[in-house]
Amino acid sequence: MSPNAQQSTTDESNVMDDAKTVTVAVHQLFERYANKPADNLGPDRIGPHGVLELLEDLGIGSTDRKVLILAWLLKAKIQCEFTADEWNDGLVALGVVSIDDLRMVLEKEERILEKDASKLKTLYRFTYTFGKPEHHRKMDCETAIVYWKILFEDRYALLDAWTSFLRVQQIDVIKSDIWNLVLEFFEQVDANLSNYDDEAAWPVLLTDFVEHIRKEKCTVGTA
Amino acid sequence: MQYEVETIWPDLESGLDDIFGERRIEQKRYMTLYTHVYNHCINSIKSLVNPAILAPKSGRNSINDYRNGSLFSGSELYQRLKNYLERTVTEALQEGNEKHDEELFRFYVDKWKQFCFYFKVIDGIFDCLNKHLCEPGVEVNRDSKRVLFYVKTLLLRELDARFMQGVMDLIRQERDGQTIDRSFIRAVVEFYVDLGIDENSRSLERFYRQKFEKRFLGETENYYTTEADDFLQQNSFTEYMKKIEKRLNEEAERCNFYLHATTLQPLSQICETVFIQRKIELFQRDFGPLLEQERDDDLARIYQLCGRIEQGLEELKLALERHITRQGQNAIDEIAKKSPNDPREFMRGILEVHMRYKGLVSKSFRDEAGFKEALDKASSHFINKNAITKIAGNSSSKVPELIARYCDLLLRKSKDNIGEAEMEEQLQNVIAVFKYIEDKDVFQQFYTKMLSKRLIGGLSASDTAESQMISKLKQMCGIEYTNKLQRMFTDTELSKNITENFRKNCQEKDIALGLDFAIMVLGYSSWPSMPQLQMQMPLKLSETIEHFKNYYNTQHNGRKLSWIYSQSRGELSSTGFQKKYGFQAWTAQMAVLMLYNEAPKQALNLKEMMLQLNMPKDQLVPVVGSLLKCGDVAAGTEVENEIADTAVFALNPNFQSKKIKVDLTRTQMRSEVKKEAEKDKQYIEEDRRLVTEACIVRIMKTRKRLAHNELISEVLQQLSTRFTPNVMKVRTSIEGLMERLFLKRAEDAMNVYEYIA
Repeated sequence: MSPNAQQSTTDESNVMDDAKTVTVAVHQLFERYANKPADNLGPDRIGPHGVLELLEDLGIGSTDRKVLILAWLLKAKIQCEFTADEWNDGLVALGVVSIDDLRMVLEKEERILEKDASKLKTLYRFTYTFGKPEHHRKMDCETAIVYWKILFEDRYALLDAWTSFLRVQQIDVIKSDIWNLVLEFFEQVDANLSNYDDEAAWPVLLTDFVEHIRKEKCTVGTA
Repeated sequence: MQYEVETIWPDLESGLDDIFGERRIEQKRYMTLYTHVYNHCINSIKSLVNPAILAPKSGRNSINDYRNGSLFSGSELYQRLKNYLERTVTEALQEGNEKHDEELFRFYVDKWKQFCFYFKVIDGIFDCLNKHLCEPGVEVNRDSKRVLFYVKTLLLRELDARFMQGVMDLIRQERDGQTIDRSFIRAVVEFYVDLGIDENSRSLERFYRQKFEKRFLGETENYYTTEADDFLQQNSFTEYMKKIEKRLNEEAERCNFYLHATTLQPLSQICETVFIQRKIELFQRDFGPLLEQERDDDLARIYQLCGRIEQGLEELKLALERHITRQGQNAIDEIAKKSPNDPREFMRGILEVHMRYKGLVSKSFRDEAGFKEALDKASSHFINKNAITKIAGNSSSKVPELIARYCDLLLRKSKDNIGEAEMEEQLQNVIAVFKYIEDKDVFQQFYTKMLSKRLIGGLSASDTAESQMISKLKQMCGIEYTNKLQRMFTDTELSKNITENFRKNCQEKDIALGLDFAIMVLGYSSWPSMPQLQMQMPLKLSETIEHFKNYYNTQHNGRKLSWIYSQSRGELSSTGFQKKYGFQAWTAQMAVLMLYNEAPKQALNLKEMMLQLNMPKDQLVPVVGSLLKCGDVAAGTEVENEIADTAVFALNPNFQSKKIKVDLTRTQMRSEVKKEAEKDKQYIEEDRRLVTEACIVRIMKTRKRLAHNELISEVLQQLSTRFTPNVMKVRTSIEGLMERLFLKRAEDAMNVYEYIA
């Protein structure tokens, strides 16, 4: 028994050593972006300016979906900010020690998202809590539209019709249930609405949207 | 060989002759005959088996060949026996050639009895043959009475040929109306039944059913098909129905008297098919006109007859529903032309139609569930959608309002109040109609308002009738529906005590109020909202108010009293006019009049009044207006639609009235009726939202987890007792409840909701 036990202690200490180097590397990265005077948030936070610099280093634009993926992976609470804990825990969990590593991880995650609907759903749900002001219960409509565009790009043909519908109806806020169901709607319902089920539990707003589209189609048809 | 057929047959034949010749057969002789057959059978089997062993065929066939008897030499013996019997029986029956009808039948019956005995003996002798005999195509192991069976067939062939037509003719004659000897036919039927008795299970089947009943039913169908067509050519449809009724009874009686009981069912069915099923379009065609002509007896007949066949009533139910709806709508069309706003006319119209058809359904259609449903559907249709609701712009509140107003007319004190018994009946009628109102919550709102006016004004004709009505509503809609009404009623009762106790209290404390005072203390949440009137009470009144406030606070600490002057009224006596008048007036009217107490001759302008009473202009103007109308007060300046602040008013010294007591409260100070209607509508919407939410939460609390569609349909069903719910609104309510975290969507299924405890 004892030699084995000996063995495992050595392993553990190796792991411990590795872990220590990783932690140190990760924290060094953190310090590169934290405590920017322009942000004025103190040493424990990366603020908006730091984030911009980070994005520049990563080579991604500020409206890139990868920004959202990064925040999601690090379980960030506030937009354009990372706390030391979020950063350190997040990067360690991802096994990332350099900007290059991080860029690769983000690219990989983005590719996975294209195929994995359940992963997209978690990112999507995260976006709602992340995207609205911290103590608010609802997200305002314009913010929601921005995030939909970032998240979906041109994945869904109905997105443009949806956003312009919201604007015509002068909807100010998107409730969480509607936010959640919008993804279900785009995922399940065909662009021509042929398989939209009137009996299903869609929120009234989505039902109105469908009616609106159908009416429009009719008028186009008769014209 | 001594067992060959040729050898034994002569002896057997002489034995058979003895039997048919009624000669006695000793036991020994019987045994000899039996032994002949026995030996023959045993021997045949042996000779059959041996060659099979020597030259086996394919195993399967040999058994079958044996079984089907083609190799069995016993068949020759059986053939001879058959030939013998056929010859002998036929000969014996020839005696009857000269006989007819009943005599012939008696002859057959006697012969049958004889044969039965002979065949018992013959069966004994040929027992062995019976056991082994297998005719081609007939199952093995049949009962041993096959010889007898054979004779039965012989006998029946004779019967069928010479007899059956006679029986059928007799029945036809009876149907034609002649008298026949029924007991004879009964005997024939019994004979057919008896013939079958030996045959095990299918005793009726083989003889009575196949030989007799089948033919009888065929004859029946032909007879009545012709009759139905002929009769209809010469008679009306209603006569036709009477004819059918008579025929059906006759056939049932016939069956009872001389047929087998089991024939009743197929017999009735044939009659029903011929008379009703095949003529069903006549019934459907004439149902409508008979409804129009109110031929209740004929309608009952149609119901009785069509009810006998499957699906026979469905068309009639639809026709009835259409008819009642049309009748109801016609009746209301008429009323809408003359008096679309008269609740009495409206109720009369509805009740006339409803009661007429309620009576019809119960009398002619025996309250059959489907017909009752047709009545309900039609009533609900014409009560909620008719010319009067159309005039009201399809507003769903018109009907509830008219019916609530009808209740008010009944329950309000007036010259033509009715007695208790009639009141009970009228209230029952109201409930009968109320049942069909779609938006019962709107009715509730109107009813509450009117009840409130009756209670506050002391205008109820009878407390008993009021509580009767409330309890009837409770019965129909549940306690929740009448809660507020009940509490309003209780408040009124309690207020009498409070007034009484306050008076006593004043006496004890030696407080002189200088006026009669009665109070009503109403629970804020139970009573409909009432307009607030902002004003400074005249001193005389405000003193009393203070006294009461003090008293009430000692009784109920912490209760907040708010004074609703708009509903208060009083009586005052005047000295300022030519005669001494007593005025019944609203408190505001009193306050204005009392301004002239100091100096009856003075003229006050509006501005001064506003200041003295501390009343805003828009509230004061209607009060002054009402007094102007009555003539108490004369305007010093011309009053336009808009009264200016500077307009001057004085008491009208020339005021005259025929009555000593003048009621000023009748001149309504209605200013903002329209606004109120709008408010009512909002209130209803709000109330419905609350009721809907409560309903959803109640359901989810018990079910915990429920699919969208189930939840929606359950909510709709529960709410429909109060109003016609709107699916979209229910869905919005569900979303609102999710927003407020009463419910959530299940993580695993978007169409399922979960209750959040």
